[in-house]
Amino acid sequence: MKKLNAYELTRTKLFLFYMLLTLVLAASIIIGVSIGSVNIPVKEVVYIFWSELTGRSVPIEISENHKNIILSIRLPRVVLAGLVGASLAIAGAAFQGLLRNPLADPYTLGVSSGASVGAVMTIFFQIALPFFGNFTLPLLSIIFAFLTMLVVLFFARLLDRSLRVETIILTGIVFSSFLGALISLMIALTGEELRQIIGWLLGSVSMRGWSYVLIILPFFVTGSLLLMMNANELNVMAFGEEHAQHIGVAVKQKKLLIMIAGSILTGAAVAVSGTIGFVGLVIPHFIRFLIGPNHVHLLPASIFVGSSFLIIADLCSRTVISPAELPIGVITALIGAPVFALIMLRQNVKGRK
Amino acid sequence: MIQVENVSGGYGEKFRMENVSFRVEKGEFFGIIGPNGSGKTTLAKMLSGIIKPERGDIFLKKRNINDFRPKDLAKTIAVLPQIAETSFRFTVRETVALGRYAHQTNIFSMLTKEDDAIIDDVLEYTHMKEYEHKTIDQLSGGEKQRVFLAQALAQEPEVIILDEPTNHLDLAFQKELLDLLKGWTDENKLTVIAIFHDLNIASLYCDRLLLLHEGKVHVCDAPNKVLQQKHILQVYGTEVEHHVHPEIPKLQVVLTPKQKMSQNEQLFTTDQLTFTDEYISFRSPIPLKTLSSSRFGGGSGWFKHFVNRYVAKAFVSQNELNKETKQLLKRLGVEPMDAVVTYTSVDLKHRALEQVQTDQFALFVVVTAGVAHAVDASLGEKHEQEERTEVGTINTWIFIDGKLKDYAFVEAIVTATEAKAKALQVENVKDRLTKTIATGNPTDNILIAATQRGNVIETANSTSPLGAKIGEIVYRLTQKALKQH
Repeated sequence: MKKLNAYELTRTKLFLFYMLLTLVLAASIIIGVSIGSVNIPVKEVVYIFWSELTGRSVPIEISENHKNIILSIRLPRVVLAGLVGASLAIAGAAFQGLLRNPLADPYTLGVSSGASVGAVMTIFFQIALPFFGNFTLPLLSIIFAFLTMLVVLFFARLLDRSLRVETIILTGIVFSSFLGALISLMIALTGEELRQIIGWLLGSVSMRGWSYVLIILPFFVTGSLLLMMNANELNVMAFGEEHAQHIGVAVKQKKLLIMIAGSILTGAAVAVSGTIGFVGLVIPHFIRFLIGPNHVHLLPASIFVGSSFLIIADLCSRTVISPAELPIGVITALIGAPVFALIMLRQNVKGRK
Repeated sequence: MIQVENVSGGYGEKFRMENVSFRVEKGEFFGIIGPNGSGKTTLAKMLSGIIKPERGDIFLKKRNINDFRPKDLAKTIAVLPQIAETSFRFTVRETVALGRYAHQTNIFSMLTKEDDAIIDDVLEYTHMKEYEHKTIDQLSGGEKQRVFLAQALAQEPEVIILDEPTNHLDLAFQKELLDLLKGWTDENKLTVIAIFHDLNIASLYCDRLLLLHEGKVHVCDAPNKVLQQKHILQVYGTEVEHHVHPEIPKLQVVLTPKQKMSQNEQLFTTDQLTFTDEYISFRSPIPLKTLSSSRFGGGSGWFKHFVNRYVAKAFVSQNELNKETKQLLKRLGVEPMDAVVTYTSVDLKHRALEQVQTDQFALFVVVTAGVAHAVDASLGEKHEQEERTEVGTINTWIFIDGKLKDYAFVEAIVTATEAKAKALQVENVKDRLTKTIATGNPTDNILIAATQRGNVIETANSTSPLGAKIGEIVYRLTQKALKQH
């Protein structure tokens, strides 16, 4: 993709950019659905979607078997991967803006670990909250994600009133380790649920089905809308909280709102897929590199690119050593870390000139 | 516009305000000064609503500042921060557009046509229009400051608060920024409250100054009253000297660095004098504070080289004369900036000099004298139409090793002039046109140069020790030089 000149975003360029993102996402979905242990031609996939969406007959014969594979197995998996990728990417973009630090992401801040603890606890203690049923695990994940965020910020503030980003990240890493230890402890003590916990922890979007899509969907919609409604606040807060207040942002409320939204997204993503790193870190960087840091476009673009990225990553994870599957987190790290290093390098070299 | 009533508060023990009260009127350029830690920034943060006062109230347009919603406050008060850093590469236009935040109402904060027009306007004002698509990390410190000024102006505020606005700015933009703000306050469009570190800039631009001392108001008044030596000494704990701005009636303060000078060394010796047919020159080892009527280096200043140059009677223009003088100085190896040159058409042999040393001061006087064009100053008008055919000049140099007050310089000139007139009277020098006793030549010069070290000499009037000596010596030397004519 060619970098847009000096972030000069005319309406036409923006329109083309979003068109491109849409095409990439559509292509990812179709490829993601068509490739697998049984390869289904792209043409057939498109016709299946067409007939399902419109109810009209199509010119080729569709195998009932393929239709089943696509609609009940591959599509929910692809959609789930897309939603998780989108949630992590937009949450990462928001955390980076809020903390004014390009290195912040749900993973480095310990929010993911917090969500994991919530999820593992749910499995370990067999917790089922009344009225919530299937939603107990995501709900606890989200609550733990949010609590972790609060505790990390609280401790960082104790260490350093000005809340320097280095302090926040360091505190985040310390908490991640601590929470990781808690998870290990629960794994060590567990008996029957071991497989379930480990399987969940490795991070995967396989065999989740439509029910998991339904679990994450409301959280994704709420969190994303909340963040996009605060895109300009994020822009302003990128210049510091005091400055944001001068410009008229009700900093305390907006900050809390953004943190809640970020935690909802992270918590829900971790709840349905386990911990998948690097998405929240790399995707926003990649987009800033293309169109600049304006959150009004950064946030929606993160959704598109994040979902496309995770759909492709998931595709790799299940095809590279097929028939076995790699944990998806391995793929995201393998792709994400070098890309991240490259972006940082190019930015710094350009900055020095 | 703003009323601060008995406000106390702040954070920590160090940066606290105690019982601060003052008012700022609409359209005023209001300065806040004080040493580090006196609470300037705390006060600015209270005025901009960042810190809430623990006691007392701040009223903005007669409404308590606590009752403003953040967006409403931002529509009234904008703040130009000292530093606003971000790790993200926003473009100049995007950054300025954020200033419209408080005016935006739709949930996805899209800019309206009106917003765009205002952004264009403020970019023009601050001369940043051509940079609008650059990212702020590509800008210099001064350009960044301009971007944030444009952002603050995009808020369309009634009050703008600036925290040391001239930091990071080079001289030209400091002036440009302050002139711009001053213009707006004059048109009553904007009220400016600015923290200044530099007392002189504060004095030049502010209508009133608030001097803070340990979180309390020390004094709040017009700059000329606030910058009094006693206030500065009490608050900053250092002595300053005053001088006046050459163009406008504003007080300026200057520091005097500690100086080490040996007092025993005799500064004025005849070895430093050189006589030729073309000039008499005197080189001082240290710069001397000089007040003189010379056409080259005249007025007041600090000089090391003093030249009395002979010019032939054929008059050339002052410009050509000075050009020639520069060449002469170059030959002598003297920097023109360091020199005062007096001119005379009198043969330089008509000179007299004398040196005196007392406990209080040392005095060294050089006179060259001729009276071919002597005039009675009381009847000068009669000479208006006169063709000048002959020239006479009395040049009097008075070097003093001592520390003179400004007025003592003037007194020394008066005393020397009186002594000169007396000498002419006794010598019965007549104004050829009016046939009355002459008082001097129109081209006469007097130069007073002092080392400004050692004892303070309060006065040089004709009865003071210094004045009496000047009078006596100038009288005697003028007579002597004339007699050699």
